Amino acid sequence: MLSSVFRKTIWDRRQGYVWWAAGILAITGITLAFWPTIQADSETLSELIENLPEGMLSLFGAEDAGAFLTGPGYVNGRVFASVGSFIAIFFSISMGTAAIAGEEDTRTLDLLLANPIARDRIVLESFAATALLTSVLAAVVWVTLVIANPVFDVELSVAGITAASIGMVLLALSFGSLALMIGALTGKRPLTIGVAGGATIATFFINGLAPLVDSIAWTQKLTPFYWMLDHNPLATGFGWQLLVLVAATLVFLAIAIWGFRRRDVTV
Amino acid sequence: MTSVIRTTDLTKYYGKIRGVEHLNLEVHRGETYGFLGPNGAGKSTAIRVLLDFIRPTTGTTEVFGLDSTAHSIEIHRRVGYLPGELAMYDKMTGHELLRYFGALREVPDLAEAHRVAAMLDLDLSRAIRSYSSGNRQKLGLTQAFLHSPELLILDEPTNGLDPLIQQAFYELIGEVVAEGRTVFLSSHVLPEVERIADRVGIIREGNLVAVASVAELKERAMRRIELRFAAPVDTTAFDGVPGVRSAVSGDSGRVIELQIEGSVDAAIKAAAHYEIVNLVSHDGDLEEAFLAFYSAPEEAGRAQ
Repeated sequence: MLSSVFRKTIWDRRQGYVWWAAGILAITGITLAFWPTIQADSETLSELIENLPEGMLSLFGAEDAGAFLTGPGYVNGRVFASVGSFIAIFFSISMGTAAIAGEEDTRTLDLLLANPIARDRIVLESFAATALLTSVLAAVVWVTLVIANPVFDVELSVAGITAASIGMVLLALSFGSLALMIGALTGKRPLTIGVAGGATIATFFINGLAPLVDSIAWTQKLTPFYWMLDHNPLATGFGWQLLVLVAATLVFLAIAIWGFRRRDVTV
Repeated sequence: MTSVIRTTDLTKYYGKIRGVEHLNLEVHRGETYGFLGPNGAGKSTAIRVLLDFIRPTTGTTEVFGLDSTAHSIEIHRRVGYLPGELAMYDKMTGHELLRYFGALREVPDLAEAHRVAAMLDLDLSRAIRSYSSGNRQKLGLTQAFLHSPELLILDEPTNGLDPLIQQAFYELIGEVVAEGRTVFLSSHVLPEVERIADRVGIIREGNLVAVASVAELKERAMRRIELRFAAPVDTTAFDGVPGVRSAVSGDSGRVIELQIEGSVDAAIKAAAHYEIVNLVSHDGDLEEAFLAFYSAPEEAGRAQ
């Protein structure tokens, strides 16, 4: 297992990972389990929801009150536009941080770099491990939804589940690669976690609230959440918008490699 | 003589903070070079430039004749490194760390690492988390020897090792040297360098103030000779004798203690005019020579 940086990065997660997977499984499962209740009480709920401020709906990825009471709208709001994605994002950030900033923080980076491996490879293999384990989290969501969809009668399509799950991975990796980039540029762990975590929260709210104010509505398009959620992949399937997330990730990775190549490593 | 390490006018500043200045180091193939200086003098800075962890502000560094930035991977392949600020992967066991680095170095055969670990009396099956600082140091050394590198760069290698294990470490260095490999080690512990190094470079505040062979340093070092005579002898007998820096008498003139720099030949010949009952020579202390460099930088400049 300890035969490359890639494998070692996965090995490092052997204890904590199961809890991330359990968390995302739980949130998906609980969401589905409540669907029959929500559907049964849809009249009361729709009154309640209509009285909610517009911002609340917008935050959880619903365009109008009705959207929350459809199967795809409900699952999207709970899993893909909020808690589920947050789990994937924070996991990805934690791996992106551990890669370089984490090793520098624990002072093991000198020892690692003394081996005959290029700095580029450390960045790329760490990212590959992050991508793989983040994808497995999304796969847990995918499997849960595909299996439970007919059971709870949520009316999701497999194509939609697939597109949204891929979207979740790409959304998480855009933040994970941001963390990797800040770590590669600065080597400072608290800064990396702070900036990447702060960016997640800030862009989540910007995406949800900016459309309510015309003058700043355009800022929504600067957030990864917009490119993941606005075209509603769970309902409509794969959209080209997800490629923007791929592009952002590649840019962050390229800057990470460029920055780490030329930087002094601290002790 | 081929040089394994060569720095040319190497200067490294961290912002405004001085690392090293105009450092010209040369380490020859097959020698043991002791890089001596107090903490903060710039030893680790120089070493970390050699390994391309940090980049020179100006000047160049070469290892095996290869530029240390452009060819860092090739250099790393042939160098074993012990960091001065040693930290380890706490979640691993000693075995796991060696397996990992063995794989990264494409040296799956860990026989040499196991041999070194056994020599240093290190239990590899335990989690690194539970290691004492001495055990961490042993593991740091073990991984540096793992691939039988042709150059060992060891930053403060005996930190935290008890005397018995230090002995084993000296044996290891002896083996390496016998095989014609090169050792570059930093230290602030004089007796250690005196014991294993062929040459010593003394660094102070980022500048290399002196390079000398250990034999040369010993030559420069003051010796103290205690002479006991059958009858009282006047200290004037040693006035103007080459090498004698001071002569002090005791026991009503029956004992004379001489401070001698360099050869003792003239002093012994002068003493031989009298009947000598006993002679005790206290060997030259490298520490004194070292401190002489420190207190007299101008002189050190000449020595260079």
